[in-house]
Amino acid sequence: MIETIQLTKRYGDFTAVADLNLKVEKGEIYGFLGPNGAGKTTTIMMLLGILEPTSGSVKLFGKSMKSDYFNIKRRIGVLSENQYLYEDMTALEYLRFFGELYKVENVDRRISEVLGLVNLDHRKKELLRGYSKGMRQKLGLARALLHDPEILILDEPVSSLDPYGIKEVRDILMEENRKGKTMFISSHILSEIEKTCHRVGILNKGRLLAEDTMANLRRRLMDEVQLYIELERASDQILQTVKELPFVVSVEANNNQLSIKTKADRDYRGQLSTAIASRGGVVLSLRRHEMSLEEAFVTITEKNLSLLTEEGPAA
Amino acid sequence: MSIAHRAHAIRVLAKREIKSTLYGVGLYITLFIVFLAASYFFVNSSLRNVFDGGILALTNPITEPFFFSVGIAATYLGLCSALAISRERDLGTLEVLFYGPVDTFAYIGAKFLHQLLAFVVVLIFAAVNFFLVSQVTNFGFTSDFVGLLVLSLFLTSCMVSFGIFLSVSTRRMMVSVLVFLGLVFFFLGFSAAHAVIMSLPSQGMTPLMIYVRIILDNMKVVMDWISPISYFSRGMTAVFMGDAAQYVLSLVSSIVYSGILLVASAWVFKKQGVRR
Repeated sequence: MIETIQLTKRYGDFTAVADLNLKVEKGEIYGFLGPNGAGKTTTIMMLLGILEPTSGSVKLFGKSMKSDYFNIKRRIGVLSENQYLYEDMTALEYLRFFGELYKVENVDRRISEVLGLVNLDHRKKELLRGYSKGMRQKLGLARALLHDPEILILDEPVSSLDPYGIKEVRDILMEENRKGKTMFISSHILSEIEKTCHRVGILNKGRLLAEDTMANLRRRLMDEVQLYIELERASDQILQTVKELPFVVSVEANNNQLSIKTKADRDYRGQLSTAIASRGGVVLSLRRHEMSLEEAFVTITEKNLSLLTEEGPAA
Repeated sequence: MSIAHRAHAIRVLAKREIKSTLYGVGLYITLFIVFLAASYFFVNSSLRNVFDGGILALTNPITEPFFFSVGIAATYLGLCSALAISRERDLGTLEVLFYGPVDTFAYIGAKFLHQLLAFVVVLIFAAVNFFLVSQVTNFGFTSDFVGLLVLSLFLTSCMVSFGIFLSVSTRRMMVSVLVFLGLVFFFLGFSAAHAVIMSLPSQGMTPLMIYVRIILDNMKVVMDWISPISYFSRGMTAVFMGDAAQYVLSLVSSIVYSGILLVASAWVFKKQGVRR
């Protein structure tokens, strides 16, 4: 549905996006992550045909934007981070205008549907200049969904919303995805990306550092695994045995609780349990700390950049 | 068929704009000022000639006030055009439009069409107003007047396309307004200075004055093609002289001027992009 091939954008000597290869399949929710200035918005603008790439190409629905500009645009819904609205219009007039532009059939019925979805039906006759940031964001989503697009491109879709609004929008997006919509979500709210996206791409300084599922990304990013073990009774002998295991990096003991860091090259939980049992220890619980996407994101951009670059950018 | 898609986008965008204009007060305030000024001009110029000379030696005394009115309205619409794109870029709404099925030509075309439609509204009011004036004063409302109405539409297109070109070139709203007004005053000032210098007797002129005169005269040739106001002057002269060939030439040159500026606007717009 969305494909970029060696997509590059340069402004003089500055490279905003470099040789970006992305592929988003039909029905997929793709999360696009990166710090400020990473090149996310530049990429989105190139996807939309608003910015001309310096080199490389973009394909939507298997076609270049130039080959079928108007029809491709009618099949995409876009929600940007900032909602720039016609302040002198009501929500109803605003959506009617876009409905006409996108040639939406039964436009009034469809407007009712999308306004109902974002819970703005009761405010539809108010001028948009009176709308709060959150309401503007929701109206933007209603506009993006109005023509029932096949692809949704969302730039920070929940950035202006309160927790209730975030859940509302997340539910709408998940429902639209269930109906078959493909989504490309750029966001810095990592927990949202984690909750909604099937695959994640991480961009830094215009380069795609990683592109994978959340689970695989975690595995690639962790050089150490944190394990928490609760023993029936800890002893010095058990502690010494654990410390001597070749895959153990460090051990901290607090009464019967052990906090152990192991290498991340494989799962050592079995070997660890066996070693403890061989010294007469009884494991009551063993818990592995799962790295959140937020942690992974920080790791990628600040700490373990080398881990990803050693493996090379994702294909 | 991208032409059909583009035509659809132009229609929808221009419809929204013209609605906004008709529900606003700017156009009506301009109309009020235009007709007030035209009436003053009509009474002060034409009728005073009658009192002074006892006779009015004009083929159609309402032509001049009409052109005067159209000139003001066209300048207002030119100013609106100069504001139109830079304002929308400033507000960020321009970018949102381009997320959808709108391209550069559709957008520029819609802005142009909107201002011309607004001028048609002015023309309707002007036609009614001058018809009433002709009935009250018994000055003829001739068939030539229809030709005038048509010509004024093309002359206004020059002012509008000039405004659109400045709007895409300057990016910021305030800069657009200042550049537009600055250039209009410059063109008017140049025209007045040229007329004054040319009216001076050449005998007894200092070499410097003669040099200035030659420079101004050469500059006038260039200005006549650049300034949208010159197209008005030429059209007005053609109507006063009753010169059909000049009239047609005026129509054609207005179309060419507008076309060139609109294509140049589209080119600059593409270079500038739609982002704030």
